[in-house]
Amino acid sequence: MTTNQEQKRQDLTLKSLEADLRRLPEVQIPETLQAKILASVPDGKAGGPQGNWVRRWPRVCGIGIATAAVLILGLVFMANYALFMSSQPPVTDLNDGPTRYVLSDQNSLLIEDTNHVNSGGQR
Amino acid sequence: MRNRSERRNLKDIRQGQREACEQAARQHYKAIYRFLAYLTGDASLAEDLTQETFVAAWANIRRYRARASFATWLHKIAYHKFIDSGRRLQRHAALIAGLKQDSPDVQETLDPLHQLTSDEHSRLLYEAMHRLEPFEHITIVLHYIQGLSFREMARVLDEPAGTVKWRTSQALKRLKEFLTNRVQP
Repeated sequence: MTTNQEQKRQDLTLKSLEADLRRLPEVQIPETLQAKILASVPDGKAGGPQGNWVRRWPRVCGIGIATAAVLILGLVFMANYALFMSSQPPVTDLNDGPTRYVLSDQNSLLIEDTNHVNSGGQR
Repeated sequence: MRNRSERRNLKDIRQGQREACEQAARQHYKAIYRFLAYLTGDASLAEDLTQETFVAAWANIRRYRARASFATWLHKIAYHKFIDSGRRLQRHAALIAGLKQDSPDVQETLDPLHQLTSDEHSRLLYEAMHRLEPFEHITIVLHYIQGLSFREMARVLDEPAGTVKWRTSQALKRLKEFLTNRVQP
């Protein structure tokens, strides 16, 4: 290394170093590289709308089947619920008949026979 | 901001249209090869990784959302291919050992960088770059050799732009130290 070059190194500043880095010579590109890269370019058949559909159809069908399954399950549930509700007897007042149901102080259920009370005055 | 023709071109690339992809490949393959050549220091490995980069790019072209430029996206793929190669440290060690020997055979092993290493000043710079820590080396190559902005580098390296900027600055200072120490008696 010459004295000139040594001096240059010592005077090195960050700015000059940046400039040196940007001025580094280009690397040699292999001649065959471009052909190899271009050979890897897709042929375009998968790129159009048809390609989109071909690539996406499993996903689209999957989403469709899942949606249909959820709808069918919902309908079945609703039908079952409707059947269940229709099979239940109508709600009536429990104290309509001769037997009377009352709650005691301890929240236990007492059953009174109103006919008996009315006729005999005893429980 | 991208102009209309650029947006149109990106859309064609994303749709996998051959002409647009070929044009993009012609435009960017040299930069990607240079990037990988600097990182690996090995012509055949850089060539292989460049091909792998483009194959991966075409295979995943639909994932490219055009948030970053196509060049940045390719750099990111190339960077990951380089990491995946798993041969980086060996190559660096071999390269530095080769540079120190200063024999005629060295020039043959540094095929893509032959012109670079034939110049004394560039050779010293190149050698000093390879003495940096791996992440420092990458930031220097991305910013000063490849010309990427800090924001673009952040996308490639998946780090905040501020961190990348700071690391690049530190790497430059370290590079200067290496060069200065080398010439001191």
